[in-house]
Formats: sequence, C-alpha cells, structure tokens
Amino acid sequence: MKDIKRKVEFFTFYDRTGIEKHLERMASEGWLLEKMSAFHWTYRRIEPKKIHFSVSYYATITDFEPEPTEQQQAFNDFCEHSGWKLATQTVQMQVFYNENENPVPIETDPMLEIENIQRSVKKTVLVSYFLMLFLGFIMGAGFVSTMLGDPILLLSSASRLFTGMWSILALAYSLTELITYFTWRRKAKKLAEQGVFLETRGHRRLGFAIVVFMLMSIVLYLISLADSGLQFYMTAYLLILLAGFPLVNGVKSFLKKKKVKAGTNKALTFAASFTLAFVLTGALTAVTILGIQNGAFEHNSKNLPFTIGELLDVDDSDYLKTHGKDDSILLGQHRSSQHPNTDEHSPTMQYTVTEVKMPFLYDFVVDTLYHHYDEWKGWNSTYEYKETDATSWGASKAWELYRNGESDHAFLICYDKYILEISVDWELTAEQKQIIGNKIYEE
Amino acid sequence: MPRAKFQTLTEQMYYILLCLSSECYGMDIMDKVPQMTDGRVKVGSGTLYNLLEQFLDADMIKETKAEGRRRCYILTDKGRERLDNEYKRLNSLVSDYQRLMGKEDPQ
Repeated sequence: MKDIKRKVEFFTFYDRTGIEKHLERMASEGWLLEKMSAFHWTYRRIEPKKIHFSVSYYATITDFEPEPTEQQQAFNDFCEHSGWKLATQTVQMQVFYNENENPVPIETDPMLEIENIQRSVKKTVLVSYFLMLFLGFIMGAGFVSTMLGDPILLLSSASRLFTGMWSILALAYSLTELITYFTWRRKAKKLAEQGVFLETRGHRRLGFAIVVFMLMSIVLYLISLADSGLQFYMTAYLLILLAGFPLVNGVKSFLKKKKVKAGTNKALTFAASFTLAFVLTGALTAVTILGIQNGAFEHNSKNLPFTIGELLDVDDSDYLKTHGKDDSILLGQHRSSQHPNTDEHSPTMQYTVTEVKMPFLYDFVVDTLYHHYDEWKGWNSTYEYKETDATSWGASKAWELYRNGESDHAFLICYDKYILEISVDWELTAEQKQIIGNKIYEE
Repeated sequence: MPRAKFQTLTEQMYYILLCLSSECYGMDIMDKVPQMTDGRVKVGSGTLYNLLEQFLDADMIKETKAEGRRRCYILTDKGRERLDNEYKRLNSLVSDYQRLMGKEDPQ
C-alpha cells in the first residue's frame, strides 16, 4: 500500500476556501498534505480524521530561502501556540493544520487578511495574468482576423490553429481569473468593513480543462504533422522547451538544499535561466538547421499531385516549381505553382488542392472558395464562376471562372473529399481533365 | 469609505493594545484577550502577528526584550494616546445612547 500520493492540483492562488475544503476532504480520506511544488502536491497517508486547514498568505516568503526566515519562524510559533502546525509552504503561501475540534482561526480580521492576499497576489500571479491577457489579446485578435479573412488558411494549418486556440484560451483564462479576483476583492472589502469574511472562489475545473485541452492539442498537433516529416523536429522542439522548467527548478532546489543564501540562490537561478535560455535556443537552432538539411521543412516535388509535364508534351524539368503543404485535423491544403524558368511563352499552371478531413466542413469550404474572387471584383474586371460539366473532370461539381465574360482557364472542382482550384493559360482538353481527376483520386 | 489606519480601533486592536499597557509577550496576548473578555473576543495567531508588526511600524508599541524568537512589547506614548482616544470615543457612544434612550443599561 502506497504511503505517498502525488496529485496535480489546479487551484487558483488565492482560493483559500477551495484549498482548505479540499485538504479537509483529503484528510478525512486519510491523506495529509506534505509538500507543494510547482508541478504537484504530495500527500502522506494518515489515519482518516477531521482536521482543520488554514491557508495564510505572507508576502515576504520567497522561494529561494533555504530555511524559514526568523520572521516566518516567529509567525509559525504564533500559529503553533494556538494549535496550528505548518503542513507546508510555497511561494508566499503557508498551509497550516489543526487537529483541535474548534480552533481559533489564524485570521480573525478580514481586512488584514485581504491586505495580505492583495500583497501576495500582486507579487505572484497578477503580473502573469496581465501578461497572459495582453499576449492572448494580441494573438487572439490575429487569430480572429485570419478566421474572418481567410478561414481555410487558418483551418488547414495545425500551427495556426494551435497557437490561435492557445491564445484564446489564455485570454479566456486570464480574463476569468482577473474578473473573479477583482470582484472578490471588492465584495470582500465591503464585507470586511462589517468584520465578515468572504469565501473565495477559484476555477479548479477550468484550470484542469485548460491543461487537458493543451495536452490534447499538443498531441493532435504532433499527429497532424505525421505526413510532413516535421513531427520528429517539433517533438524535439517541445521536449527541449519543456526541459527548461525542471532544469531551472532543479538548480533552485539544489542550491536550497546546499543552504545557499536566498539572494545568492536567486542570482544563480536567474543566471542559470539565462544560460539555459541561450543553450536551449542554440539547441533549437541546431534542430532547425538539421531539419533544413534533412529537408523536413520542405516538401519534395515528387509529392506534387500532378505536374505540367504529365498534362502537356513539355519538358518541365527546368520549371520553377513552388509548393507548400499545410495540414491540420480539419483540413489539408496543397498549393503548387509551375512556371517556366526561361521561356516566357511556355505554359504555366497553378493549383490548390484542399482536403476536407471533417465532412461537416465540406459545404463551408466550397462556399468560401466559390466566393474567393468576390474581393477581386471592381475596377474594370468582373469575376464570375459559371457551372460547367463536372463529368469530364470525374468530379461531382465544377465551375469555370469568367473574367469580363471570357473564360479565365480557372476552375473550381469538387471531388469526394478534395476540392481543386486550378488555373492554367491554355485550353484544357477533356483528356487532361481526366488525368487531373485520376491524379486527385490517387491522392 | 475605508477608515484611516488606527483612527478607530477594531475590538481586536483595542484589546491587544490594552494587553500591552503593561509589558507582555506577544504570543501571550492570544490567551490574555479571551480571559479579559470571558471568551467573547479571540485573536487569531496570524492577525495578532500582523497587527503587532503594524503597531511597531506605526510606533504605537515598542519591543522591550527578546528571548530567542519570543518578544516582549509595551505601549508607547503614541499607542497609549490612540488607546485613550478610542476609550473616549467608546464612552461618548455609551453616553449618547444613555442620553437618547434615557436608560443606563440596555436590557
């Protein structure tokens, strides 16, 4: 039977009510809090019993002191005098427990407690919340503007979706925490004037949901990279970045164990973070260079669904071929353009194949692509898609683009789960259309 | 409107200062206050610790001796003046009540 239990907890920093209730329940189930770290809380097995818990905020506690300062020890002495034993402490927060039936609470003046919480919140989480809010807002605005302007580009790029969703989550989370905190503080101060304490309210479930969502999105992101050859490199990126946190934490803990003074520990830990940041950036750069050398960031032209040489009797080995591929769990997009390198009179071709991986998006994608040329209208040009024979393409639906009433040799073709936009500068024959259709099906 | 610091005293502040009219160990105040008030007023350890720090900062009390981490305090003239002011304020509350309600003891 295990005597130690480790749990990842998602409490809001100042949610003393939530933390106390949770710890009381854990004790009644036979688990007493022993340690709080940045990653998890450790519980020790005890005889199940009713124990009271109290969370105190002490703005002068830093995480670099090798031992409690004299002030902290004096504070602990006061608490011990009234039966409150220190369970553990972390940055600016101390957790006490009391086994007496009706102990006098540690805090009996609500206004003083609010002042302490306010000071500690200001020194710890408030800056992070505001920073998260700012970044979330800037990146979220970019996400929303791309969503409105070019939804297909966004939905077909795992990285864009990934950063967009994360920024919106960061925005939602920081906003929720900030609103809840300032609302609590305002109400709590009003009640404190009458000597009444106000319970705190945290967002434990929201915190949990966000962490689960973040982990899931990382996994989905990595899965969506499977075809592109980037998977290995992005996994390496993430692992290198993740390695930074335990390493810096390890330096701090090691120095604490060696009883190094708080100031020296702080300076050395910061120095270690900077050094590590340089080393990790170096490692990331090395990974990137390695990736470029191995062609992981490029798409091999052999992967092009079809080339101009397969349609016309031309030697396209000298052609300039640009191509890009984006993939997400929702959509995939393969963009290609093929232009002659020297001879300006040789034919050119460009096309985009959009793969709809989630059927519910199909109509939306077709509709968006159909209206792609709407914004090009004006001046002296008019663009219009006219329905054309789909069977010659082996497709279910096809439109041809007309500019000022004349064919522009551009088409929008709907296959089962692929939608092709193609533009050429010659008259496509039925045979060429058939070849394209077959190539798309092969894809 | 939040009240100005120590302009008026809460019950807990009042009794802590009252305890320190004579030299007293900080920690002992936790036991003394309930004794003085028949258990009506209790001061939590955190609240007491914080208030002692604030009274020291405001020069209302001073440290007289230290035995390890145990420290003894006593009121300063400023602290005594604040306590007297509070006593007078409370007395005026009582006399206002008596004058208006026309009786001495609220039964």
